[in-house]
Amino acid sequence: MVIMMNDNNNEHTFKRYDKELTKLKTQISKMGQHVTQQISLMLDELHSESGISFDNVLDEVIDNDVAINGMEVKVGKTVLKLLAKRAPMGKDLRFIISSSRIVTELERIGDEIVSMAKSLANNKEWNISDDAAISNDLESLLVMAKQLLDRALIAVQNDDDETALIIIQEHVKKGGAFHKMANEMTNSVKSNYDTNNSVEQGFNTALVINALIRVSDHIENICEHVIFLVSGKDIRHKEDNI
Amino acid sequence: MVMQNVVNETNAFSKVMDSISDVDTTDDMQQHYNFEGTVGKPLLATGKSRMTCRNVDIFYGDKKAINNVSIDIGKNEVLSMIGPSGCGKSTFLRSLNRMNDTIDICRMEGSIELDKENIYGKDIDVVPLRAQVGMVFQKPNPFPKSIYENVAYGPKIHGLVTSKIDTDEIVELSLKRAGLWNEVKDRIDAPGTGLSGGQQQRLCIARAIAVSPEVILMDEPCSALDPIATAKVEELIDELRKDYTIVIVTHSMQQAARVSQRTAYFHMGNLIEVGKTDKVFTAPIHQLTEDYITGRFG
Repeated sequence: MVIMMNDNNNEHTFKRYDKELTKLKTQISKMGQHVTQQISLMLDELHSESGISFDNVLDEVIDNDVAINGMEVKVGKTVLKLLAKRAPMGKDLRFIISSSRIVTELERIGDEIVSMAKSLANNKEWNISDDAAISNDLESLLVMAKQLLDRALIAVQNDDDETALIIIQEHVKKGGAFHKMANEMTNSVKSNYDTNNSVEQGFNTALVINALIRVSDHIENICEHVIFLVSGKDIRHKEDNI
Repeated sequence: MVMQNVVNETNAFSKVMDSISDVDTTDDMQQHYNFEGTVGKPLLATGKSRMTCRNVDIFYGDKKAINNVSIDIGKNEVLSMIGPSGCGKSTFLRSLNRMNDTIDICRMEGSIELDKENIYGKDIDVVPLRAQVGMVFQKPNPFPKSIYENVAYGPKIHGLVTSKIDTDEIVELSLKRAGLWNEVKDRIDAPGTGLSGGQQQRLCIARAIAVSPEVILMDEPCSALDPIATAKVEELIDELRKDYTIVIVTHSMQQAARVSQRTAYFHMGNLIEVGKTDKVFTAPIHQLTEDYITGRFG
């Protein structure tokens, strides 16, 4: 027996509800773009032909982060309004809850980028460009982080839990490609650390690597939220199952 | 090669998602709008069921209003039945205590058992059946008698009381269980119809309780009540669950989510999905349920 439904079954009877959900999705997309732009700023500085100095971008990164924080607050308001007005159920409820979680992850990625920029700037005694191996590793990790974040954000927009799972399994899960590359950078730091390098260099590069790992953790969380949004399955803290 | 990779990735994805699944994997989203049977777990494990409905069809003349519904209703559970108007949920509810018998053209096939006894059996007297399976209606309908008489009437006609002391006791107990005693104890002989809407509805619940039912059916019991009176009735439903099985038809999904442990979704006479309420309202299995609970019906 085939039960016939109306053709527009993807739309709510309350058309305004659709608009509100679309607005939420757009807000996440915009916030995501701002965060990836922060990574691009870092990469641009690494590619600077006039000599790498993260002092040049630190202020801009911090200013942008303030804007990103403001976006998180705005999304929070949208979420609160939707919960109060619409009493969402099913997939709508999962989308709204996931959105709230995703923007928190994005805001934290923003914080990690600021922390990275601070570690790379304000250093009197060394510059990352002094060591080609380390700066190359940093560039590779930033490129990868940007690509993965882009893919994760597209997965959010397209309700694509398959891509989200692939990102987790192949890249950002412990032992995945991102972690392997971060280990390489750690090894570069270790092998290049000799009497010519200062403690400051070792300490700051460790902070940068740590911030990059945290970025990948947040991308993993975003992907987990996408899977919850699409399937209703909460895979957080269930590493054995992935 | 690329296609093979895509296929492999998709298979791997399905495998992983299945392994982390906490839902019944025999039910899947493939059904979409092709209804091929109820998804979820309509049947309880043996021994836990109070009412057992199997292959129930209900007809109004030639028109089939309920199509092959099988479901168990457990002890001490609140089962909510939701669905759009005309989906058959009230018809099905009324079949649980043979209220449909009063409609000449209504005919039922299949079986409905209460504690393993077929309630449509030849020897079944519907009067005691309707005491065992009581009903509370959409609009409060107290008798045009005193509060006391409203509650005492049932026990008297069913022969559950023999003395005034017994009757007083059962009236007080029923009103207490319905959370109404403190509000009416000083005007017990006042007309039931003089109470507020919410109080009248709780009086009707007290009236149902007074005849020692096993199951209480509620057909949109709060739709005529304000939010405070609704909250009181919902709180009462939660209390009553300790002693009774409750089946509630409601148009308020929030109410179903608040008061019931399991939810059944009906659509065009079919039981589409049954499951734990938390699951049905956050991640239903069937697309029809999803569309209904998210307000996507045009």
